Amino acid sequence: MRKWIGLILLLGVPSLGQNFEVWAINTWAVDQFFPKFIQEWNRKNPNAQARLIQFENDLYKQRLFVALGAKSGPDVFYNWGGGVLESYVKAGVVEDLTPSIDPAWKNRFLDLAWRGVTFDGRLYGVPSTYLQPVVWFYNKAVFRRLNLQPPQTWSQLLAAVDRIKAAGITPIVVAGGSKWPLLMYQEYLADRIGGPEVFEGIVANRPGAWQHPAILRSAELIVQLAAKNPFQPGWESAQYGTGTVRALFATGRAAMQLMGVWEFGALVDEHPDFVKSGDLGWFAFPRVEGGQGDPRNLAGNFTNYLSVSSFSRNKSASIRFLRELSFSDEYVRFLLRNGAIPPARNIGNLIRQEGAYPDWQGFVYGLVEKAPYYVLSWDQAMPPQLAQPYLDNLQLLFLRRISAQEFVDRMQRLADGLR
Amino acid sequence: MMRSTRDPGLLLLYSIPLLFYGLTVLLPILGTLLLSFYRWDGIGGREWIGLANWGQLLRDEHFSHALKISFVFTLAAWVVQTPVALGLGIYFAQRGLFRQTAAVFAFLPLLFSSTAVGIIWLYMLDPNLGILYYIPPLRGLNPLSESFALATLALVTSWQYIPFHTLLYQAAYQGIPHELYEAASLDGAGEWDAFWHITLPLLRPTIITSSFIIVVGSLTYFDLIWVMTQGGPGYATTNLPVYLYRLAFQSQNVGYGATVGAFLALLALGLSWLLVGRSGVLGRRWS
Repeated sequence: MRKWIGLILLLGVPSLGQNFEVWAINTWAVDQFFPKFIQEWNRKNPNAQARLIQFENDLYKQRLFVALGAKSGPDVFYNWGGGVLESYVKAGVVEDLTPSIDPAWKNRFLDLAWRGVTFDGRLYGVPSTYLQPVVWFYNKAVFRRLNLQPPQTWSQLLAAVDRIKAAGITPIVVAGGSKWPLLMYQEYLADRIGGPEVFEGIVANRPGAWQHPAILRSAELIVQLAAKNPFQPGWESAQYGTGTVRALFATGRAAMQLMGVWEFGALVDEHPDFVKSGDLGWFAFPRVEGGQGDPRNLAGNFTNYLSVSSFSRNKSASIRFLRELSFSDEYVRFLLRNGAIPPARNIGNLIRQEGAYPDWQGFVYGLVEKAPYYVLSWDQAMPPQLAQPYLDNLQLLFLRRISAQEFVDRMQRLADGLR
Repeated sequence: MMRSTRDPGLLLLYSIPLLFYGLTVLLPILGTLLLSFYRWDGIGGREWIGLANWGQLLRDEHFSHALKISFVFTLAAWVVQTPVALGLGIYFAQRGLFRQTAAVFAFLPLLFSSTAVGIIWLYMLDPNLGILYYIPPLRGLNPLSESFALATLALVTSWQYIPFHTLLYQAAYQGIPHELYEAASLDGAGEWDAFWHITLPLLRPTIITSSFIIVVGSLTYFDLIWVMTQGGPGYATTNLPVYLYRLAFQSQNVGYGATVGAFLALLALGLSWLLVGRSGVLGRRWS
């Protein structure tokens, strides 16, 4: 009899509490902070143990898609907000967190940060990492050697490319094989030329949105750049996840890279000597002569988010977990110490005090504070049915297999097909 | 002496693997076929659209391109793997310490997962940090460029699977009676004659089996291609499975992706019938 009671208790006890899974990608912030944080959480919450499961960046997106479709897997999942998350919200697999987010929680973060997870006035995630605008990184040693200054206009950038190429160094590295690094060029060029209305029309899928002159012009400028062969050999098949592009940049074999600010943390992680040497430089995306967009506008990810699945086994614990992470001062300090900037309010002073890289962090925070407009990465803002073919066509544009006009025509046709 | 096909013991023996096969292979294929009649984004609701997906398939230029890539890749895989495996199989089948040791090492590529093979070769073939960089005449060449990617993938795939086919040929060759070769040499036949008139004809069933495996395997090959190029650059290495994956899992167009999948299954079925079916090349009685 006692044997049976024991067995029932043994089976019953785990179901009193419920463990939950946290899905995320391999990125330095998660790699280095989450395990400790979860260990602490597990110690304090024996009945609701968290388990961290990480995936490689590009593969994670499909893995998550399949899991959410099957309504099985993550309780908490890392995401980039935007149109992709919205498609999951529409499918009913994301928990509406609005009732759980009290004003204190809301005020913890910049309003900007909440934009990526706000749909129809409801909140479907919480900011989880750091501000991620896209900027240019450059090798100061190479620029010094060639007596170059960071370009302030698009023509200056092209001139720099010519000078650097003539010196036998790869002007720009890009992981063209992964495709999404390529859109950073267009999202900035389109905004610099035509301002926010350009992409807003695309996201709203207004008729003729892709035929806005700024899109055609941005495509033409891309062709102009690509015609100079500014990229490293094999750029069209280079994948971001292998780190080879980063290695080329950090070892001085390439001069510039257009990438999100998370690249700084990755450089600190993989090429610390390069960062310590002081040769890592940065500048904001230059303005385009004759463009109407505000040169202070930014493009990139607002931040990464953590959302709760609607089929989560333990929603209350998952939400508590998110709240604890959001209010963790240790997390803020960790991010600051690694050169990142949490999307939190009023941390200008904290950056100056705790920031391990005050020049860099001051630069990024300054950009965000002053930016009148901040556009979300195009492949996250667009619905997936459009984002994928967009990336494919963009790569073809960079490869100069299709003309700028054909790019515009194709995208307009695709967008019309989805309306 | 054959036992009657109504022998209950035999039926039971056949039924278990058939059941397993039915559940793990036939059911998913039928499920895919069923999905092809729906519009579905993978997470929301499904909508019946009949043959609309199939109609779209016929007009889809990306599909016909993927079909072409599939065939080219399959042909390349066969052309590389069959002669090499045949030669190696015969080589390893004969005695010799060196041969036996080499055979063990030659088998290694087959032991790695396609993903691991893909990642290793991705680093090795990197134009800037890989092997080619350190061979000055080849510096700057990109084996995974639009022009070369498909050929490179065919070679890497062959590198991985040649050991398997080598084993097939090795075993088959060892089954050929020595006396045949002795008799032939007594009659004045040279090495080439012996190969052409004895070895090849007797290896014909193995060649067909091996070819069948190569063809069906290459048509459906996904892992390595995805890891190394994701079907790119552009669509240079997008074969049918890669196209299916992009449609279903990246573009969230699962219904249409399932259509490609169902087509692929039917294609593989058709080719199998052609090769090893009742009236197929192998099925015909051989004497």
